[in-house]
Amino acid sequence: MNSGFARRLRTTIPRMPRSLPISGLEIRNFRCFERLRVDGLTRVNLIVGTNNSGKTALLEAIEAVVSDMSPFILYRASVERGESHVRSWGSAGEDHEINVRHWFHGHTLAEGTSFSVRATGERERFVSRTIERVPSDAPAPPFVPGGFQITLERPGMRKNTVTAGLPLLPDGSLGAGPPSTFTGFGALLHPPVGFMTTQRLPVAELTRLWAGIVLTPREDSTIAALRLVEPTIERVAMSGSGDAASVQVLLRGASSPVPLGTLGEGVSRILAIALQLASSQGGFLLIDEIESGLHWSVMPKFWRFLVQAAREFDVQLFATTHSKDCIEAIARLHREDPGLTADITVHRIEAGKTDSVRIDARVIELAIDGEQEVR
Amino acid sequence: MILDKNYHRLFVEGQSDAAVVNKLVLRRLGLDLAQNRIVSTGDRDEGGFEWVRGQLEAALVTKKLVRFGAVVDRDAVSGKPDRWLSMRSLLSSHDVDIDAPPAAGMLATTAWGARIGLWVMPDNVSAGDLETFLESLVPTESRDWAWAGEATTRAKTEGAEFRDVHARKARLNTWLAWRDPPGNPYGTAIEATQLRDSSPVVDTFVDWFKRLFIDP
Repeated sequence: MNSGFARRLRTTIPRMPRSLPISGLEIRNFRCFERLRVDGLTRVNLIVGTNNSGKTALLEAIEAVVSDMSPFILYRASVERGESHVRSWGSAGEDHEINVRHWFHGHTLAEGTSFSVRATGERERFVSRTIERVPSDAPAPPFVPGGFQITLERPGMRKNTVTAGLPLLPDGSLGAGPPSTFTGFGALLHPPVGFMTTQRLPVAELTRLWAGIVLTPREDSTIAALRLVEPTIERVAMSGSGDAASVQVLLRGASSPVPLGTLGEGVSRILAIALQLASSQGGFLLIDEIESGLHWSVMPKFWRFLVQAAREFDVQLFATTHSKDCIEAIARLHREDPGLTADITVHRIEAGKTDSVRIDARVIELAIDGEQEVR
Repeated sequence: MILDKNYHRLFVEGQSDAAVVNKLVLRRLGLDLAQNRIVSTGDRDEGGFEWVRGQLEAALVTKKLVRFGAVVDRDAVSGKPDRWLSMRSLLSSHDVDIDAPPAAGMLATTAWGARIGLWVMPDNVSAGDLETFLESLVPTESRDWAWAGEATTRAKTEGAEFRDVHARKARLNTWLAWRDPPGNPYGTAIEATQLRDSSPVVDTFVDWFKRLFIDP
């Protein structure tokens, strides 16, 4: 391209959005995926597919690859899935041991078993874990020569790869420590990584997130989000921490606040999502079953809020859903505001297929109009 | 054979097209498409062709349907565009390449293994529309068919408002107005055997439908 042409391009093309942190993914040998490619990711990505197609596993793969600087990759997911047990020996009763075989396609633990997740985008990200034999000259303990270790590769200086190993117990478990050390670790990463399961966020967690946004403009956008499901909400106050934490909500015209728990699941869910979005500024937010707790009638407004908040806080969002209401809401939002839905794509994964199907909001609207199923 | 609308779909331009397909397939193949809502229809008054094209595009992108197709008017008469060209560019942008519509109706396999079909009214080769296709179903012994043509031409000289592009439609509906009971819509006329259910072009269409949705 000659420079004159390049200059013309710069002047004729309106401001191009900067490239997204993640635009594509390639997963190998991870959980249910022998191989999976996902392309054309946008700021807000909705993952659909039948049961057992691997929607949650895809979120975990994304969580792992965007947390590539974390030592605790997949710990949270394993504990959440019940792939861990509390250590039955030693002093600390809360320490978990993770059965890492479930991280690998086929659940097999053998020398050379390996998974990897590669992401393309503003920069390339990569994580992998491999099962290897502990070399005979390894410093023991905790390494047992001849036993298994799990190794991770990290890109080091000048293309040299740094390999580090963690010893596995004879039954294939990995000592993980107490969950409190790794469940909230994503928030400490740069950029931050948030993960929301279908579980209601504990009040203590809500108050912790609230502390990070209270008295900032992000508090106002959070309250505005809550009004999507409960328009009479005036103010929210949180106090205490740990077991003493409480969330109080003042409704319009009421003389005293009521506890959050009295307002129904939708309010709690939106509050949690709004707080997580604000707390994941500049990073990533992953939400499993995003429709959980939300009535279909709020979906179009909810999606408007999601895109606006993801833009405002510069968050790349990945969410799974089973819900037809979610898909229909995207179609409706596209009719009302195609400028917003340009940031939304739907990605369908299917068991045994190596490529996901990418559907943009314009095609979603066509399909919904013709009663074509896209999930 | 049971077709499922989540996997089998035929997109057509309007209600009358849907009724014709439903009745022909019911009579000829014994298959009740209406019950399972296999035939999806746009609104001819609001750009039925564009709707069909959009639905085909959605099916080609979402890759959910396993057997699907479209029935559209070729038009290409009286200054109307040749719809085949529009369809060909859509198909070709999704790696389904067809030079010209075969007279037997287009069938192809997509990259992900779905079967896609396209029927261009009236016979995949000629210019025309649904009414051109239906003319072949007027019983040959019907002596008032010729008179319906003359009457339509005469009516035009007497100030009838239909546009020239709709002359065939006017003639067919004039002829239907003289049946017992008079004025049946096309699908009902087929069901009531006022229109036949077989002609060389209709037999070819039924065979195309069968190859698209039923044959292994």
